[in-house]
Amino acid sequence: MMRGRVKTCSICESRARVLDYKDERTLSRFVTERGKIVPSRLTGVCARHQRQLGTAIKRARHLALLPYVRSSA
Amino acid sequence: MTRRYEIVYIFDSAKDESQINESLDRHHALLKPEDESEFLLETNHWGKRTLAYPIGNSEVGHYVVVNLKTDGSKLNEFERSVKLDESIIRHLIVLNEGEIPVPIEHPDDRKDSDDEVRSGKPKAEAAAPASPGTPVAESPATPATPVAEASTTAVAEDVTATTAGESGEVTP
Repeated sequence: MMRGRVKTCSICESRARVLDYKDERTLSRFVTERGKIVPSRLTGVCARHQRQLGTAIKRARHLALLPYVRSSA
Repeated sequence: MTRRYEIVYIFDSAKDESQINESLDRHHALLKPEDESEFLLETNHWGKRTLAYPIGNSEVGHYVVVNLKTDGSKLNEFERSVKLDESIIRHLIVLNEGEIPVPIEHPDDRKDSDDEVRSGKPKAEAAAPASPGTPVAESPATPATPVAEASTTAVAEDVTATTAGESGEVTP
């Protein structure tokens, strides 16, 4: 069975060990246009960073740095 | 036991800087330990920012990020007073210990980077995530990775699902 390309964790490659919930520019790369968190299956983010992403994005949403939902308009 | 906390406040944008500082002082007085040598470590005013969604009637908020050391048992009383303060529209208290995040530099920032990362291409465009048009503009160059492109339709679908606007990647 053909496997796709091997994806690498882009957060590890940026040399960041810990994610910052205040850095909404980085976090916004890992949410869809609608504002959902993108699964690591699609982004290739490693498990450790995906867990951090989850908390960071949720904190950023609470602080209105990221939207909970973005309407399509 | 004192621990290191980071507190983010969003103030009503109608309040001016002096009112905000006065309110901050009032709340922080509740957190001051007996030994005041190392209490407020850092106060960072971000200033006015547009909120990602309206909170109450506010579209804009004044963000203040504070790093401080305090006793966790003082936090309950502090949080109660912060909640009662109507000029604070949102706040967040988090423990700020262990590894401190370092800012991620953004030149290689992009929505879906695996194509370029794999082919090891130097990133020509600077602020890619801001402009969803750039991946399409770059698609003539992508045949440099024919192996990755041709056979894996399933992955190509994944790409469209992730970044709906970037369908230019699939068409070749």
